[in-house]
Amino acid sequence: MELRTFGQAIAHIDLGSGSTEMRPAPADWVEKYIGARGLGVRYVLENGPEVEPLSPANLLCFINGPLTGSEASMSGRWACVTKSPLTGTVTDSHQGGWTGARLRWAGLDGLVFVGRAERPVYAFVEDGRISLRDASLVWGRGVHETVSFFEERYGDKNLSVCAIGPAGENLVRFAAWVNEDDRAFGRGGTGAVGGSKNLKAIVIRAKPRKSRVGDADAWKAVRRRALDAIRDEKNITSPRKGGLSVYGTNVLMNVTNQIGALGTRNSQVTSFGESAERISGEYVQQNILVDDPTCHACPVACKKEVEITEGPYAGLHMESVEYEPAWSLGANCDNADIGSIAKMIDQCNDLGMDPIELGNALSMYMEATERGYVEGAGLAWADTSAMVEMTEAIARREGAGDLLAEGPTVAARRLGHEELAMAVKGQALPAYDPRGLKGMGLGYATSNRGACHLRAYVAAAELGVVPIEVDPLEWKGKGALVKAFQDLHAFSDSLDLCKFSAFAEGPEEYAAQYATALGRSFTPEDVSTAGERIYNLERYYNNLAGFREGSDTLPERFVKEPSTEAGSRGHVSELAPMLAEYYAARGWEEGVVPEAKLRELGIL
Amino acid sequence: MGPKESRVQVSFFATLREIVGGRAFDVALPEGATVRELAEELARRWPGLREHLFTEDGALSRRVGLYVDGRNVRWLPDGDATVLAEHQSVAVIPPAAGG
Repeated sequence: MELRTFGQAIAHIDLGSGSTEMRPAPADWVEKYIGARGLGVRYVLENGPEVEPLSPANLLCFINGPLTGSEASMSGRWACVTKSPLTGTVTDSHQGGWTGARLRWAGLDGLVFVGRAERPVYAFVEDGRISLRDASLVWGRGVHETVSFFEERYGDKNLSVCAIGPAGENLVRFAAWVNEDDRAFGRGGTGAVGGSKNLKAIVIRAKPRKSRVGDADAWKAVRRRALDAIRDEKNITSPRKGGLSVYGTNVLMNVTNQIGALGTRNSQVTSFGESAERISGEYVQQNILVDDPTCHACPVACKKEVEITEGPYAGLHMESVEYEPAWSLGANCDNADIGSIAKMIDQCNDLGMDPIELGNALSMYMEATERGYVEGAGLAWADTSAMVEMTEAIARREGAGDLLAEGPTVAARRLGHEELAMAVKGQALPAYDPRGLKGMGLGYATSNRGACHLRAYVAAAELGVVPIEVDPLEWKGKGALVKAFQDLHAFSDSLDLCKFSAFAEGPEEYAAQYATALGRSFTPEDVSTAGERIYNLERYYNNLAGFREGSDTLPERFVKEPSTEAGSRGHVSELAPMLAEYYAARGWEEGVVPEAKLRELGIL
Repeated sequence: MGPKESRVQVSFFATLREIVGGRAFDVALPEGATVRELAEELARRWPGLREHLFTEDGALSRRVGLYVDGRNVRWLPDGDATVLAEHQSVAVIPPAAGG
């Protein structure tokens, strides 16, 4: 498996005509935009920013990074890139497990779909070839049944399946693609784009393959250095010793609760009090954890597989109880019942939906109900059986589920109270309250895909995990910091090493692995430059799509309602001065990339 | 009459709970004790904590955070010389990050 040829095997599939064609990515696109996120955005930009997201003309790209499927640690990820039906921005989402690796082993670097099939189809990939096959027998089924169906048909060895569920088929705006390991392309509604194309699944059969590079000894050495960093007991990635490995991402629940950055009841307050412990990573580890699954080439094993032992969901065996959905369906909805949280995450995995967006839709509706803005029964805080029922109703667009399937922003707008939607550019906020972690708030506002904790994970600095320590309650200096994180993550998302590699690796490790794998010269400074280029490319797309001055915002709650909880008491997000700092660092004019910057970066 | 005492509630998180064998403890300190003196007392009571709380040269480690009423002491005006009040809450939090 020659790593140096990355980008040459991109399959272009017209679902309308059924034709497939292999075309290499333009060499300068691969050079400038690396792969995965960056390369996918370049394809989507070329397709034109004016397309309707759920029209046949929208592109749906599944693109590997240049290291996906190799022996590089944490290289089991790939990207889905499209124009989002939730936000109208360009969006990219990343999935773990083995599916991206298996695409590489099958001889392809990416799949670019356009058009709409007349009847439901799935794409089958093997031995460097792709074919479209009838999916009528699985249309309407959940992801879990769909995976089982294809495993029975093709054998469960050396097989990966990535599918949409009923939510995608019903064009739920935050529908997701989910694979055989319950890993998702979670955010941005990419599953609805699949549903709009009548594309049910991607099925890949391939045995693992070893990588080939120009200098095998150098390749071994750079990988060893990265692996040593991941394993270092000082790092949270350290297998079975670091907090991320032992407790998974939900190690954060108690932490953000302590510092007044855990939004509760639709972010009306910033702490869940004593209840946070009951939905925390520590609680999961002590009481319901059964296994720690992992992804291709990853020693961290941050996934947490659980079995619920009591209550109405006793017997449920699922993965994974992550921080984000534990918050969105937990504290955010005033819900301290881990069993119902696990149930709803499992529902999202099967129905194919983003649990962050789901939780925010529910919490918005709960607050609207509390304030008397909802006709009929509405939804009460922490009514777990009603939450579970509503999750199903949203996927099927039944009753009030049809309203909430539009996402919290549109739903709140239709209720006449858009101020209740905690979202940016139409995508709901994740689990770090901007009043307690001010850099994260700026990251949400300036994210190119709507509110997102992963575009600029400055929490790593604000929580003292990486050796750049900043006060989470200080707004000064966050502009340049957010830019630096955004650029670094834009590069690592385009390499598509797992985001959590950044807790152990940095530009030196990324540059060394990329340069050695592809046999090209690449320095740590090139990491920043490429990352900045990719970030500006996305912003350029968004500017052309209508996101211009004034689109980088935060909901008023975070700017005007001070936190009342310990750790962040009295604080709001000072968004305006942070934005000014940020735009200066970026060289943008109120959120718009000037032509000179586009030329400087080689985008134009 | 002995020296006056104050009691603070100290809670531990993540991997530190295994070292101390629990979630939260009342810790008695001399009145007017500082955060640094609390850290010394914690390391005395649970020797396995010392390598997490202190560097080799005896400074407070910058990896494990000591939070007083939700604020990391390194951002408080008096830092680890912050004087603890009766019944104040201190959280001892190892590095944590995720998604």
